[in-house]
Amino acid sequence: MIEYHGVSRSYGDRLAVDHLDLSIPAGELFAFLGPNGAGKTTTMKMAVGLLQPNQGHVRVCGHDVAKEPREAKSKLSYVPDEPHLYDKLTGREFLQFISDMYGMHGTEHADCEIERFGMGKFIDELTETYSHGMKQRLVFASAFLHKPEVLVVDEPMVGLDPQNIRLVKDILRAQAAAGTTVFMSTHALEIAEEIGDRIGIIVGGRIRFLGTLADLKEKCRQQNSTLEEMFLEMTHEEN
Amino acid sequence: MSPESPIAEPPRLLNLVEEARLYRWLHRSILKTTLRELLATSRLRASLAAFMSMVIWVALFFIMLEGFFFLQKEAGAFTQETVEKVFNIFYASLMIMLFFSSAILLYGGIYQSQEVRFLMTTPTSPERIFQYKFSEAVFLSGWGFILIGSPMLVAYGIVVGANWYYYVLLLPLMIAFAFIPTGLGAIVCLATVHFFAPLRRPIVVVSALTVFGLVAWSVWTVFFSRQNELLTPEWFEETMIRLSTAENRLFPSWWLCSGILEAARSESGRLEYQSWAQAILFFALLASNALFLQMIASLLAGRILFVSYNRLQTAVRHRRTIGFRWLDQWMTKILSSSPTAIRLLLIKDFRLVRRDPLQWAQFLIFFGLVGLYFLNIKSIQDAAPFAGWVNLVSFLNLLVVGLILSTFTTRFIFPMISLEGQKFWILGLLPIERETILRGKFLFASIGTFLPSSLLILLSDSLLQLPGTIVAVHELVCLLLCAGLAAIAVGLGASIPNLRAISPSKIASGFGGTLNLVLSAVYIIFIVGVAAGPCHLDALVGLGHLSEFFSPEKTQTAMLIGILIAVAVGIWTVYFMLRIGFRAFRQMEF
Ligand SMILES: Nc1ncnc2c1ncn2[C@@H]1O[C@H](COP(=O)(O)OP(=O)(O)OP(=O)(O)O)[C@@H](O)[C@H]1O
Ligand SMILES: [Mg+2]
Repeated sequence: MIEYHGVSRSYGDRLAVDHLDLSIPAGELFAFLGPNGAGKTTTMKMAVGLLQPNQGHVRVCGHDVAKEPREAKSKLSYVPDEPHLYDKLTGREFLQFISDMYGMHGTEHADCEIERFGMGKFIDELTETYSHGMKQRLVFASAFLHKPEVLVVDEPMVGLDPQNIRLVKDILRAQAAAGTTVFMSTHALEIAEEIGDRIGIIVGGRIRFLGTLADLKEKCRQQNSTLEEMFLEMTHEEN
Repeated sequence: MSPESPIAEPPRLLNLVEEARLYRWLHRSILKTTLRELLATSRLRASLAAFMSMVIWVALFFIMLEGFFFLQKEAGAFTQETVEKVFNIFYASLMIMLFFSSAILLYGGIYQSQEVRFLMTTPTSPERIFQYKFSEAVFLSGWGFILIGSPMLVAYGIVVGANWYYYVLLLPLMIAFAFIPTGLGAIVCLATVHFFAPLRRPIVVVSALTVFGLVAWSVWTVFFSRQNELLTPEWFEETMIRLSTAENRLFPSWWLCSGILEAARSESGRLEYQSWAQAILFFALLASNALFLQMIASLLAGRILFVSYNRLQTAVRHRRTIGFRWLDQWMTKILSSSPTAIRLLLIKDFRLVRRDPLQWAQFLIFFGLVGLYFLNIKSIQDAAPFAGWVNLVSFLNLLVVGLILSTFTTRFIFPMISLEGQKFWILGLLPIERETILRGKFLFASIGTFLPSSLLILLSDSLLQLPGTIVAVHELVCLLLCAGLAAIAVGLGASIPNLRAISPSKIASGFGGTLNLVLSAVYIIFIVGVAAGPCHLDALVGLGHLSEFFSPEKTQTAMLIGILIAVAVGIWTVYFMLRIGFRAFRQMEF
């Protein structure tokens, strides 16, 4: 699980995340929405140890990310918006590298992921020859390799074809069902609507809405508007 | 799809040894693949790189060999003391260069790389991330150091007839030494980012420049400004005293030089065993300090790497639009007489290069290294003034500057056209002729390369106190080189564009880039040989050397003809390459 307690982060004098309190329990798929520059990526980077909060603290599975970074990171996987792969490694070598990094020897785990993502055809080629979708699949495979308890995914669907979007959606859902905490940011309302257990909307660094889809729909019904109208209205005020 | 239980096998943190093994495996696999690809697809480029390195090595080797022989035979100044001074200055300057270059390399490698951003989200320890990047930095700055530092040592060994173990000990000594400035650079890099990242960038830049200026000024006053008349005994003494600053016992460069000189010492009789034992003692001193510094740096990284990374990422961003606008305005003023389209293109390119500090910093360092090497030659000349050798040296200097320039045009100018092509809809829709774009690039490249290289040549020549005619010829050759290399890069860049690769280094390392490098090398060797060769012959004959073979009148005619040919070939190359480029560019489809 992930817990944010009174977390703030600024870039210079620009406040990007403002006193955020958020807790995502195990087995939940949390969909994080918000306009460009709202602070989604910044919030996620603090959970994976790339940034540290100015105030407050972030815990992953009970480990404070700033104080026990290695323990926290060994429990999580991060799929960033622009993932990094080694050009000069093959997909299989990359998976090998990752599984060794988590102290898991043998190739069964890797083989299993290769199978699941249908990468058998190109897994032994250098990753520099992969298309965007192939890279994305490899990144996901590597993220699931060590069976993380927490999965942080920043805009996972960008650039994927419908089949792969379906695949990623199913996998995220299945992971959550199996007890993994999934923290996903997205710009696609319908994806949040379809697979999210709970939805958070962040605007200008502050949580504007936090609740289940049913809560959100209820709110819409009260205000007599569609989900989209509601979202646009919520995110508009700030600008 | 079958969802597995996510906690089937709990992940485990690796210990230090396992981590080290894993990252060694990573380096090895990447290296293996890169080499295999290089051999399979670009054998030409690989052999070319090897060839160019060899040319540089051999050129430096002969300069040094001849220099030592001249010192020994003619000048009679080949004393242990002189050699010690020369070595110490040379390696002290190399140490400073290595320090700066590794600090910059590590800054780029750690704080600006996507790879480290990825590794930081894995449970890898910060010490290991640092070590991993540190070994890359040692490798990257170390091979240049060995390439430039070893010719002198091998030449010295030959001249003094050193024992076999001298040659055996050379490499370990140099490698152990290379770790020391790299370790210091790493510590300074980490600490600087940690403590200064929150400050505004102009403050950091200004203070860095101030420190650098102070260092340069003190080096200059210590080594090169003098009160006494040239070549008087007092002058010699003063020089010697000043030069001895480089022989501070606490400088790792002194340990290196002493180890080397001890290894080369050949004594007769029973004392001989001491020479290698002394050399090994100095090696041990270097190695233990190298390991110690590396340990300190990695401990420091363990404590501050994540925090400093965070500080840098979230520091106040300098508003780009204002900071260097005066530079742009200054450029605009200089160029105010040129046509508007060209002016705008030039300023755009200038801005792009200016905002890519990691790239030009590497070239700055390379030029700095060459500058130091010139200064060092100057100190040899002080110890034993001999005009013929100076002449040869200045000639080879020209060649070295040209070869560096060719790597610059290949790396920066050649890919520019391809990159422009990828975004061609921007320029293509502007109401300017396509030729104008190329013309702008050509001007940009020639001016951009001529400024630093002509200054470097001027520095080299004035330090060597060459006569005005030779300086003028050198500057002319430099101009021909810059214009020709720029035209080759622009012409080939337009003829063999790579419209897919995004990164300029990938474009530069492809087939077109390789061809560019080859043509540039041929052009340089031709121009330098034809224009500067006879001129140096003339100077030598004027000094009374080789007069049994050549008469002064003959060499003067040769000089004139050589220069004329070089100018003609230069102009033709520019014209021809640009024409090829124009034609290809006009027909290019984007
Ligand atoms: N490296 C940085 N330097 C300075 N400011 C930054 C940096 N990264 C983000 N910001 C600022 O922090 C705020 C939040 O950015 P963040 O990347 O978290 O937004 P986001 O919600 O992920 O946006 P998007 O939907 O576009 O990905 C923005 O105002 C942005 O300008
Ligand atoms: Mg984002």
